[in-house]
Amino acid sequence: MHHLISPKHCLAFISRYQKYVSFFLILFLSYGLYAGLFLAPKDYQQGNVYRIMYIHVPLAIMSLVIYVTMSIAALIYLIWKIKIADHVAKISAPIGAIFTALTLITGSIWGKPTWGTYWIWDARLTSELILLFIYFGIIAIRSSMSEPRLGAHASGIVTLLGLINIPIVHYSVDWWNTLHQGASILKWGAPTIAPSMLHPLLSMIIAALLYYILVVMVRLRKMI
Amino acid sequence: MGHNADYIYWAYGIVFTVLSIFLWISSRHDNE
Repeated sequence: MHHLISPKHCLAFISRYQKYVSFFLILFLSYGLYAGLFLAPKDYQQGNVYRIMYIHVPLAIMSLVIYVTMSIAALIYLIWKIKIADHVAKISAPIGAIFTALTLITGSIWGKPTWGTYWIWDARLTSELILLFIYFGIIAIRSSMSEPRLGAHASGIVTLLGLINIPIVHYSVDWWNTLHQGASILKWGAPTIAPSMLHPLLSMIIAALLYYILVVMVRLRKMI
Repeated sequence: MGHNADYIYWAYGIVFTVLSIFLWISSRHDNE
């Protein structure tokens, strides 16, 4: 694995695997969309509007996963000064920000018919909004530095500081009394969701992960 | 999809438009 830190090998790795990532992205996305929108049954309370879940949940999970990945990359850069790690951190920030913004947008569209409001200052929603601001901060601090090395350093440190918000977002639904529902998949024990609704969701989560990997590959290729 | 269909269309429409544009920009983007 460590040979990937050499730009030449990294480039060869990307050229080799990018097509597979694209292929599986299309595969999981097609199945997830078809099964989620057409095969999965109607929800007995929400009717069809719950189908927003198939994009909202993957985006929300990935908004946290991308942040953790970005933090690991930042840490690797800060300790070992591996440039590719910093590239990954740099690429991840805007993708994470977009995923977080889309999580808030889809959540708010879903909130209107189910909760009766687009927005409420609930712990989950607020901590996710803070996550968006942290992403903006990380992007801003990097571009505000005149020297790229300094920007990489500063944004790396801010990324690690912001990591504190990740467990807050995830556990907010347990720690506080929120309007947002609790965890259904990422929790101890079996998921509390019917298999016919769960399978397309898992497929969409994998698709979101592959989308992130694909964008990192596409952008990394141009940076090294 | 009933009277709530609009919400689903909006959510999917926004997400797929944004993510497609972002992927397209990324593939054209000339960094450094």
